[in-house]
Amino acid sequence: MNHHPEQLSAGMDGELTGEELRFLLRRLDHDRSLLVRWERFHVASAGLRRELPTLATASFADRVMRAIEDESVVTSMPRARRHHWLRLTAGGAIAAGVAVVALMASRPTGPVASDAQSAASVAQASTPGRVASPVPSPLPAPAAVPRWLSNSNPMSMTQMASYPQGDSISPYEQSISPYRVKATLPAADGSYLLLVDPGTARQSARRSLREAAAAQ
Amino acid sequence: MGDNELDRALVERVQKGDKRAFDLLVRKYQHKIVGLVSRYANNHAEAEDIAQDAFVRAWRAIGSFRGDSAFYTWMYKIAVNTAKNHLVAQGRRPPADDIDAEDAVFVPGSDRMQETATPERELMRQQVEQTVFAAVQALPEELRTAITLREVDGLSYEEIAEAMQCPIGTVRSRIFRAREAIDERLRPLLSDREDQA
Repeated sequence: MNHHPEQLSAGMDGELTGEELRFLLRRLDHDRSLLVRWERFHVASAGLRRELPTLATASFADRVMRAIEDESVVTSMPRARRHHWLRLTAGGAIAAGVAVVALMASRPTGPVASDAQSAASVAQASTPGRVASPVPSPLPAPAAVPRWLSNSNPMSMTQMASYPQGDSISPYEQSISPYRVKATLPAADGSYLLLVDPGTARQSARRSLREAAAAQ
Repeated sequence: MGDNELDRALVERVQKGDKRAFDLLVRKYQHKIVGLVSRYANNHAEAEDIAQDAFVRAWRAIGSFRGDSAFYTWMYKIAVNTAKNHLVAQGRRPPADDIDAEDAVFVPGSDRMQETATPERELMRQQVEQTVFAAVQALPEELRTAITLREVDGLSYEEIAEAMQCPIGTVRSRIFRAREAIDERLRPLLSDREDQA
């Protein structure tokens, strides 16, 4: 004997345990006649209580559930698109972050830097592979603090860069274009104090501008 | 587990992603909701469109339903707001005589005050009601008593078992047999109602 309609009736009255209700819902997934019977039982129930409104069309519930199915598809699509934009934005943010770091490492902040120099430095600093050359160069002998450092703003000549100690080779010993690293002073915390000569930077920027003008 | 508890159990299942549980709630309340929004609509088709929109909105928002009120009360508010928004979007004025959601489990004939129900639909409603009553009158005494105590007086199976001095299993069986007998008469009538004008 099929007990499911009786379970449906008891379920309608809230007389099923949670487990029985779960079983009934699973059954309803495969038995459409039970679903339609559930609907008719409720119509009869409303009729008995004299609470029967004008009936919706027979296909109304199916239409609603179809709309919800469509809704689920539509809402999942923008989510996928959102993830796509999120990926693009995150990628852009990382790229921008790298560019800013490169800029911070190469840009002079002192009063000697002109707009032309800045433009040249930005253009060159953003060139991939120029910021940190993987080719190491021999470690120069520690330099004494030059005269031009003593009376100037140190920020115009120096940058702190973190680099793991070990083989004691700093990537900033390579020329960070357009600036020439004059000396690298290793600190105890693993960072380096880079001494950059703004004079060479100016020369380098002028050379870049001249080359650009000649190319035109 | 009473009627509200059943709804709550279904809502919990919906919140876990069970669409079938929401399907049951739609099939349970569809006529009430269509009837409710009929007072805001020009015709039955428009009422069904609004009701559909209301159910879809309820589906979207069901994650935020905390169960402080009955599911129907919550659904009622969504349906009324959807209907009002629909009217505003159409450049029409919503009626000012709102029914309080807490009191609006059912307002007999509220949808019939409007012209949305065609004579055919109203006739159908009356036929269904008459068929149900005729079927109940034709039931054997113990089935009629059981279904009346349940549907009209709202007693639980346990209370009915006590009143009828029989086991709960018997009550369950009697109520089911009564429903089956009513359903047998109702089935041909309801299957004919497909997409009436």
